[in-house]
Amino acid sequence: MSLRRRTVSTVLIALVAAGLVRGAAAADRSTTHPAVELLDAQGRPVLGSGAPVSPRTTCGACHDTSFVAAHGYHVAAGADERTAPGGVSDGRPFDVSPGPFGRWDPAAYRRLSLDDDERFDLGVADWVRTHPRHVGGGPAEQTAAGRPLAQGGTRTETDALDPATGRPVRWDWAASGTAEPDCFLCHLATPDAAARAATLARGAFRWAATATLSRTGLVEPDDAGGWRFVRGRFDPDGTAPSARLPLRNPTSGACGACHFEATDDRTALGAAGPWSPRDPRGAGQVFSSQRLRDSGFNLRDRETLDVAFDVHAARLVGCADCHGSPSDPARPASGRAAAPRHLVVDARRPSVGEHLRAPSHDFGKGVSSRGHAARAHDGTMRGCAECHDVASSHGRWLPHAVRHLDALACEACHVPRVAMPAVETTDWTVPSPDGRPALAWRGVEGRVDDPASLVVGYEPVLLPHAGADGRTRLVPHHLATTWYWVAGPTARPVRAFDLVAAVSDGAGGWHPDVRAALDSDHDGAVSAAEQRLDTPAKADALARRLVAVGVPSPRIEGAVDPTAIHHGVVDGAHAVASCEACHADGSRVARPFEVSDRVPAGAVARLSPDAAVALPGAMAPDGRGRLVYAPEPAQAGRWVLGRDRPVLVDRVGALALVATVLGVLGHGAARWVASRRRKEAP
Amino acid sequence: MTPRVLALLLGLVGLAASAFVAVVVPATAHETSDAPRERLPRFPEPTDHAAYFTRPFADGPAVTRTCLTCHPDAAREVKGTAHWTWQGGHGVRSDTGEAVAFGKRNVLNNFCIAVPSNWPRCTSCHAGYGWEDASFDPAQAADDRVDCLVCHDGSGQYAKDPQGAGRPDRGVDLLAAARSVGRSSRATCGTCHFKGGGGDAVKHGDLDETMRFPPDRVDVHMGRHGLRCADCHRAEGHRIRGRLMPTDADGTRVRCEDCHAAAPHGDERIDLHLRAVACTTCHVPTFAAETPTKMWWDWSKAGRDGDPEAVAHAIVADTVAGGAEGRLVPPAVLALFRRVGTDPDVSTHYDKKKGLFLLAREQVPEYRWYDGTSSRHLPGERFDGDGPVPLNPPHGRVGDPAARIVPFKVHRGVQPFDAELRHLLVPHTFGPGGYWSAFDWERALVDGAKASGIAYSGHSTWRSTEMVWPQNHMVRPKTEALRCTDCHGDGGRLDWAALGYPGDPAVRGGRVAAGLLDVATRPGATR
Repeated sequence: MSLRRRTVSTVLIALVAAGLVRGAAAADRSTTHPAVELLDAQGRPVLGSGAPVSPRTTCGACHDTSFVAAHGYHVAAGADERTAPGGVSDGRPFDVSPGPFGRWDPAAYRRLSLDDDERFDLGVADWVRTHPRHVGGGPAEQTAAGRPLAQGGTRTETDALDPATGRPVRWDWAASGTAEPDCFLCHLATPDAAARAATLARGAFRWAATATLSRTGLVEPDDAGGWRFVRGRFDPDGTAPSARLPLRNPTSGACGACHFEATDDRTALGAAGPWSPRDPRGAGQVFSSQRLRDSGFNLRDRETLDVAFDVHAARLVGCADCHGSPSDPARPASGRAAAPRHLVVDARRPSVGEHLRAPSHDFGKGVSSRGHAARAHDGTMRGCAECHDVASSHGRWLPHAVRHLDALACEACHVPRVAMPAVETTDWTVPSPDGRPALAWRGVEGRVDDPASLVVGYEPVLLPHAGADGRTRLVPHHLATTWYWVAGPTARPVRAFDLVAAVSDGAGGWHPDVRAALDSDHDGAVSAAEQRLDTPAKADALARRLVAVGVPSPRIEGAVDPTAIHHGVVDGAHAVASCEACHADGSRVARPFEVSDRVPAGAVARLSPDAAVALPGAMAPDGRGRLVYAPEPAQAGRWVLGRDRPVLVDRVGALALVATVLGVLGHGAARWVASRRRKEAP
Repeated sequence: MTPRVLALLLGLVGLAASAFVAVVVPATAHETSDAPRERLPRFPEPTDHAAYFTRPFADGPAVTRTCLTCHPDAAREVKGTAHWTWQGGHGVRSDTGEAVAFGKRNVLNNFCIAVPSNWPRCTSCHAGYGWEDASFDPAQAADDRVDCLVCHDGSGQYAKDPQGAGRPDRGVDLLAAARSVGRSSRATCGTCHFKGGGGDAVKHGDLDETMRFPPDRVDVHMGRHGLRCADCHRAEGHRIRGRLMPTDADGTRVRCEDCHAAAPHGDERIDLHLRAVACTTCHVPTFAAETPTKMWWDWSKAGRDGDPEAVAHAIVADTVAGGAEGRLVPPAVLALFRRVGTDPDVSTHYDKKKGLFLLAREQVPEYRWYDGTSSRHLPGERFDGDGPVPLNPPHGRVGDPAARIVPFKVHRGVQPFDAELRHLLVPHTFGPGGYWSAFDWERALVDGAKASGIAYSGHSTWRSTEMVWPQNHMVRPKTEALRCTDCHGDGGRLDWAALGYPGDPAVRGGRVAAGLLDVATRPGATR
């Protein structure tokens, strides 16, 4: 047996012995992972070479990192499903993948350029710099043809945007290196995501994983923009002590570094300031065991909010307990996806050693309401009914339980409100001169960044959505609208560089023409309230400016994007349990939902093409200039007892009543007449 | 309607009613029902004694004699209780095998240490008058030495002289007190029990003056629901239920289940915890909710002159720096020392007579298995072990199905120890020649040995000790109780390994699932 294989075996056995095979995230936060030697990309100890840490070789000493990268949709980000422009099912004509790499996201706005784009917006290097939530690897390492990025490729892969000229320039991949899949980002107890993001933004991609280690004390920034290793903090044999490099199964907090607001931190949420979610598109969802009243947020009726942000988190269920690795022997995957129809669950599981050597990172997922990346893994997560005996717990009190469970997702009642604010409108039609969109938040009275503003949360809208079992049920959703300029025959969004060129004066201020159009109160400034195109004159002024910077025939479009609400679950005591909540006038099922706080002049918003929900009902501006969606369950074939009143039944009933009364009166009259006649008869 | 049809209908109605009674009513009765108010004792309306007494009383015994004219058995009953005898425990010395009767009158603690030689100060909390010295024999004392007023006063002005061997304070209006008597109250019980250890909040951690009128967040029973001590510590013939750390299970424990249902939460998972977790573990998340309690009493630092704050500061600084001052400081206390100056809930106090104190409020208890019984370090008992001397270690193991995890305040201290005979010593502190006036440890230990009967070799040293106090009061409402993540998961407050679990029972299973119970007690075991 070679030394390397012996080492691998020893470490795997040590891992097993150390209990790292434990499945549940709640308990598996130990730091019993053996100490590791940090290696560079060539497999040399970094203490000797001084080169960046390579997770691929460091972790690859025991784990099959190539397998992990190939079986992890967080790595691929949709790049493994790349198509020609327009080839994405339910995508836009210029989308090249169903995932974050290649699918245009109106809220994030910037768009990966196509090779034939006249106006270059985002090369691969720009995408890596501006998407620190990507874990690395995949498109951050390789071209679409599977070659290293440094070996050249298409223009999108070789070039980056010159922010001064707006033109593409060659990106020096040899100098920047590439961003490897960063195991430390999720598996280190103390990752420094901010340092990694800053390193990526600086274009020092090969140092990104090293930057993630900055909180361990093993590394510190050097004067040349890189990082150096602090020898005195390593063990004498050159390994990084596990006390400094605590590696473990990912916790909910690790997932929360990117996904909305998931945390297992015991520090009160909001203690550091007002609501500022790491993922603004998380629709205000929070996955935390903390009670709302213990948070630092200025919540309405806070003292009465004894409920936890999420009851699952409060009961020690972590992200990975439902969204676990399908190869984890401690977490049998969802029976539906993993087994043929005749089996409840496929009992054949990889051994602990097999899993540790090559753990699948295609984590269990549901069926997204937006975007279609990694659809092969739809329905692989652990659903509610796989833990809860829903029928028995609801059958005792809920009338027509089967019908309710057939029509409603569990979240429809168990997420009655979303506690925190969510971005309702992202308006790119008039970005600020430094390129930021105007944002409007729901669920807060006042500015979201003001700690004194009252946080009230919001009630999500119930939309039909097909789940993993193929059944369409009502699922709580958030709807957010993005307004933006498009141009050209394929209605490509106007690139951010041109937008800024149109609204700014080149010195950080508003362009005079834009200021003159927007400054309604003539105070010489454009306030937040004025930063919107609510009249045709203002829209025309911006359109003229866009034409002036070279954008042909600009026009405004709106995209409504749904976000399904699956987190922020409350227990039965706090769930919707009143019949009148749905089966009466003002039913939750048909309650109007404000989709945008504004409608730019002449613009129309539509549901994004990749949305996997329907909007039965009408979406139209109201009298106050807001875009409101009014659900109509009947259009989706749903009859809501107590709310819906079909006219025909009402009329038949009225006719029956009248006929009965007339019949009784007629019969009575006839008998009265007959009796008179009998009396008068001789 | 014919009589036959009427009879048939009545029969059907009767059949339906019988079915309802047979099926529905039992099902309802089995549902969890927690109606604690219905299980509270019903007390008769107290008799107004105001009209019975018109002339002033000369002293406390005079009041008692008057009481006994109508309540002739009362003194005899009281004199049979631990409130009077200050004795009631039975133990066996580990060194000699000798059976020892003990009680407050002769045991050692790590606060003021012991009663012998310090009687008038200590016995100011005795439910009687005149326990001046060793010559007082509770069994032989006259009936009129029983102090009725200390428990039954309703005037609010009755108080004992803190150095008067149980006698009333000079300013007390005995007539007013006698005219006011009635049921005991939080105030009367608190007169002694809130001030155990020599002052408010010193000893217990869960009993202090805030319990007279506690807000909901401090104690839901006495705050929100207005309960008195006697509602739970029910008495019969002046024998009051409830002993703090009994050495035997005498059946007098006060239990939450006396009022609450066995499964009161309406949540199966929480109710399952009750197999292993005391109610107080979750419902007393912290002790000393308002007033700081003593956590550390270091007698070895007594006798230093100078500004008390400066002395305390110097000791703390040296201890935190790892100096000689902290030689006997255990890790749990060192953690508190490190919080001094940065955590407003932790503070120090220096008294030349008594040494250095650490006080803290809003403290997280320490958790141990407890089956309701304990051992007691007996007077003169030899201790050859390492580490702190455990003065009243609770009994209980993870394998014992009768034991549950219980929250404790652990009071740690440093006190005199005989270096040759290896037992704790009793210092004479209060009174003429005592340490508090002479500041002579040798003399204090010699005098204390004479008074207590505990031998002293003449070679003393200092020894750290620890004493546990179960936290049964300051019970918080459910909204303030611990939640899952307070104990389970990363950073939980329970040390599962120390409690004997292989890991967090939330994921490794409880002691039944993990096979931790003693074999003979496991479900299905053959006995």
